[in-house]
Amino acid sequence: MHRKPVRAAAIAVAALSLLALSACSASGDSSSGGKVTSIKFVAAEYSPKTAPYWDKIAKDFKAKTGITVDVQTIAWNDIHQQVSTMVQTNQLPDVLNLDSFAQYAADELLYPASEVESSSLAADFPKNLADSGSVGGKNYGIPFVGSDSVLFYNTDLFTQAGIAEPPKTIDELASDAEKISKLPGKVGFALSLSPEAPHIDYSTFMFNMGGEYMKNGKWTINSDANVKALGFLKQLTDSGATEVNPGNTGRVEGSWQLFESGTAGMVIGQTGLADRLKTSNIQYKTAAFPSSPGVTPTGLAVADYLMAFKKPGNQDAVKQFLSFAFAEKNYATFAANEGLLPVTSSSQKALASDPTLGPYIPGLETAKFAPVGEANWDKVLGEMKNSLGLAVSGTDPKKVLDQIQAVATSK
Amino acid sequence: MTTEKQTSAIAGRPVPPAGRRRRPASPQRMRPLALLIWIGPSVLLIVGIVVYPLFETVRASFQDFALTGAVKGWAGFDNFEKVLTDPDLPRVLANTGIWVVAGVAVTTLLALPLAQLLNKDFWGGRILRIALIVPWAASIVMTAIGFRWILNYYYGVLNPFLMSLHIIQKPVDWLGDERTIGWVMIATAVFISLPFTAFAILSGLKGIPDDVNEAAQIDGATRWKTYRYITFPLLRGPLMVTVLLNSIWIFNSFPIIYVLNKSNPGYQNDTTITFMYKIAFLTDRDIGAGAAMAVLNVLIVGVCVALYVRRARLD
Repeated sequence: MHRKPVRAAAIAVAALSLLALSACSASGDSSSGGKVTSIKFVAAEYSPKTAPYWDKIAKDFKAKTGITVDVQTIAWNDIHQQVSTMVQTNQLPDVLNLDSFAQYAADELLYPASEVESSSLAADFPKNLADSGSVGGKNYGIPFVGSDSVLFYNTDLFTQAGIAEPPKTIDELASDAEKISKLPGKVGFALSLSPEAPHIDYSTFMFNMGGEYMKNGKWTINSDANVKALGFLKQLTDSGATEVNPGNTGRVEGSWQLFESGTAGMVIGQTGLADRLKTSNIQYKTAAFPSSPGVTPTGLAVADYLMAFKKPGNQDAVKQFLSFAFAEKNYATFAANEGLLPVTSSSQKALASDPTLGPYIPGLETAKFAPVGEANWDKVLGEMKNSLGLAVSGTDPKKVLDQIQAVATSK
Repeated sequence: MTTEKQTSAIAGRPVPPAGRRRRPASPQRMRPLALLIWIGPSVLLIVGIVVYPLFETVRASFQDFALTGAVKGWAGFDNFEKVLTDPDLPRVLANTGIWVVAGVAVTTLLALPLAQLLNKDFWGGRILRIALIVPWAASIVMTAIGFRWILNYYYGVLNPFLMSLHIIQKPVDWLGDERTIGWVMIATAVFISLPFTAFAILSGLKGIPDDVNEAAQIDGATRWKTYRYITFPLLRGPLMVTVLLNSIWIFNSFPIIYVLNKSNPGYQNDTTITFMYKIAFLTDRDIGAGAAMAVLNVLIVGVCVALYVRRARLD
């Protein structure tokens, strides 16, 4: 007899708490018209130096312009997930620093770069870098830092194996790797195809063997040249020229570690690896990556971008903040701090003679980008991460690439 | 009593006749508001941490999400169709079955003698008991990362150890080889769930009065017979509970598989839980499909638990 009101009350409580919860999530976004006096900047954490750097920039920026920058630095492992939650709950940042931008541009969340960068900044990007940030012919991603892959080789192991020069062709790379693998306990070429970042090693081989991700605006992931490149990696693995299972070897904890410990003769690396090797006693040199006959040697260029989200009244503040972030004094510190390459022509010139970064800067100019400006790039990348490694552990390379192509071309 | 009058007034009920006031207040006779004050906090808690997230998950499973995480609209059953027609799903379901059954079975089989051992007083028994708690108390991710290093092909300590004992002739790629990774993960799950199970059974053993065993021995039962026909049946309660809790725990155990298997490509070693994570955040980056898989996971575990509870008559 008393049960009914209890149940009704319980339902009412449930409904109220639901309302309260949804109110919580909705109340975060309450900016009104007019110009904003504070912006939210979500930054990827490259190293322990990242957060203090941005905090200082925010302080200096506030002193200069009076605009508050609310900096949120997020570790690489979590940032994609967290940003996706921000989008879901409509708590967008004003400026975001990330390795992908195309999906946000496709959802029309971003300002075109031209609306938030000053004309001098826009003119300061080399063409390949500026173009890498474009979605459907319009730039949205503003390159922020970059890297390009080169061949690192252990000179001691090369001498021990009786090899005088770094390989010039892909075939030489294979035979050199086999020679080094014959040394007891050594690995010729440390190849990383685990889900951590298999596209870096694969793309480097694929580009240098004449393959492409896209041709004339169409995905060509399972083209003959690409299948040949992935087949070559399988062969390299089967012949014992690599470590035992490249399909489950990552980079930071995997192939780089094998090189750092003196186990591996060759590895694909960027400035990040050079930075790591400073504290080891490995004798090594770097060289342009070898290529197939008739293919111009190239590296895989990877850039991280800044992007500006459309929010009422934030355009001017964002524009000022971007100019400030790219101001030479600030920007060069960031690149040097993180061991990553600067992407503006002016700072590339300024850092050209830097002993650590300088040698890698010319390579970035000729390096090729993966199609990061495609709206579904993240999906293609996800599929590559989960399946490229299968090609060296029993699955037919053609089948692996067919599957990725299918994901790329599905709606 | 004035309070009683007030509550009745608030609930819009006629004030009860004076004669009823004298009766002792049984739970059935409590006034609605008083009841609400008692159950309110737990109702709020359940709504906040169980009902609402579940509601959101179910809702997400019927929505279409952009890569950015933005909702594009309703998807009907598309997400469920996508997950259920995934060519990797049969393998993932089979993995899940093996993972749960083997994990629970091995844990229980090892925990029974272990509890028997812990039930005896011997020198160092206390230290053993404390040491056993460690794998349970330690963070699962930490334990899994520890195993990752122990089992590393190039730098791990297990390969050199087994080779020095001549158990294996050359190093084994424990985490990369299809033939070993599954068992390695099950062994890790057992390692982590063993302490809890052993202690639960131990508490069951402590609850068995000595005179029962004595009576059996006087009747001429051997030790094994005493265990088989007296002790073991009396452990039914704790065993039923540990099997249930371990099944749920191992089914939902994300960190072990995620950490140990994260460098392997494909879905060959995934269970429905890591599969759900991968399609939501790694490969398909499809939150809707991930939510659909989450709903299926809840259904799988819910149906299994309901069947088990009915059969085991735990309710």
